[in-house]
Amino acid sequence: MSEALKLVNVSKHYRDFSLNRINFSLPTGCIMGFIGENGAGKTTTIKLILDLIKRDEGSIFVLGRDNLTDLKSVKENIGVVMEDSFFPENLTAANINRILKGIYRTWNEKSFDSYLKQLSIPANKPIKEYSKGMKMKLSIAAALSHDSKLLILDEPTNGLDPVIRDEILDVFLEFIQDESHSIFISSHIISDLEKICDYITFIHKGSIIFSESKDDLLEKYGVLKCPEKDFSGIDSDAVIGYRKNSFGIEALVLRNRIRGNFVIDRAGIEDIMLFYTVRSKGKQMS
Amino acid sequence: MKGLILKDFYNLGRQNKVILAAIAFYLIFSLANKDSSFFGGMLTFLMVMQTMTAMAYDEKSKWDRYALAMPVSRTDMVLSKYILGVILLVIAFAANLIFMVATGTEPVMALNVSLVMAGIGLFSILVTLPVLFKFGMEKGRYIIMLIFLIPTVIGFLGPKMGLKMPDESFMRLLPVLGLLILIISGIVSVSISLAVYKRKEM
Repeated sequence: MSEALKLVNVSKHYRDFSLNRINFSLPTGCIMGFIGENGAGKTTTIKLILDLIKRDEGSIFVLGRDNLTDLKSVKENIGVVMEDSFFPENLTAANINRILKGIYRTWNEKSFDSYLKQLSIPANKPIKEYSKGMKMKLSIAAALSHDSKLLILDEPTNGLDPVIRDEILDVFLEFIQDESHSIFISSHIISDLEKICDYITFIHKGSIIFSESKDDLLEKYGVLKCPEKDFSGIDSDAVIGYRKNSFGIEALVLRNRIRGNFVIDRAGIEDIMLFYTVRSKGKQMS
Repeated sequence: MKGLILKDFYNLGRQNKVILAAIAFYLIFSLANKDSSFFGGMLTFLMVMQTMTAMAYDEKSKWDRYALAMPVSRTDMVLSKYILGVILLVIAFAANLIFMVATGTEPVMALNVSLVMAGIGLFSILVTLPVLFKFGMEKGRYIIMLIFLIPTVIGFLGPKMGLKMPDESFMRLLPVLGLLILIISGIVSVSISLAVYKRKEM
């Protein structure tokens, strides 16, 4: 199966927000970062993938299977981590082990124990006494302790310190070593995504702005800096968005459309996201 | 499914000291007042409450959202609560039966009383679960209180308005009638809960 996750023309309408014909796919063996502002539709998209909410239009294929017909058996192979821990707070990791053993056919107790040790999670402390980082690590340990082929992560590293984030990213990188494993991760912490992702999908106000390989993105775009008077000479088709500062103009541009001698710096994923957002506000940021 | 019910027992078990204290109190009160039905009645009531409490725990930790990402169907989620209720009532039934026989009640009488209590407990669960699935604990709590107000009011005002206790021939039909009511209520209750839960947006 070539695609771990595929969304085709997926829409969902609420009174004051809509997801509009979302299309993207995640090739097997890769990591895709899902970025967007708060309220852009990231969590809604993930809930649609897991059939937690009903879509109004389109199809979703998880590990090659339609998520409406066969989801229960597919879920044996999905590991999900969401921003809040949903484990009942009076339970301990040992309780969780026994509960999940009774839910997942492929639950691997030894694996769970070894992740608990690796991530320094106590087995017999109630979850309400955990720090935020520990709760997240527990969710991750659970997601990895059955036959997961696809990890779906909704802002898993929010609010965690850099040391724990690094620990967690290492665990993800270890997971992806197996070519049949894939990861779909939404996050605000773009530096984390830049470290590990192969693909980046950017959602803005319910629509996908782009879904491309990270390397392509970094090659295609650049941040052009010039004095204000020189800016009008630039082909406006080459400019995604720009802003003025005290030195002149800073603009996100398509490198191959720029003629002439300009200073073009590397554009990071965060730059690309910010300038695209500026563009939707009318090309200028104050 | 097994994991879901285990989770409920772990959650409910956290209160074990309070529950044991309550049961001890009912026991002592029953013995002291030579009222063997008090213990059974209160224990059954406790089990019905515990079923609701299990749902409250789930709501508090937003468990459903996480659970549905696992190989668990919406049907499993609904049925597990009914099964939990039945398990708890069976425990109450057994405890009540033993208590009554141990305190001198004639076994057949004890069996009948225990069955009736378990039946009423089951009926209560069948009424409350769909309400909780639909409205959640906060709103559901008030609706349930209202629902249970009806038999209380009837029991209180009925005699004053001339309602008499049904005669003996009716009483003999009661077990069959009761079973019929339970079966029909069971089917209706589970169907409503399933329909509500399958459409719920998490």
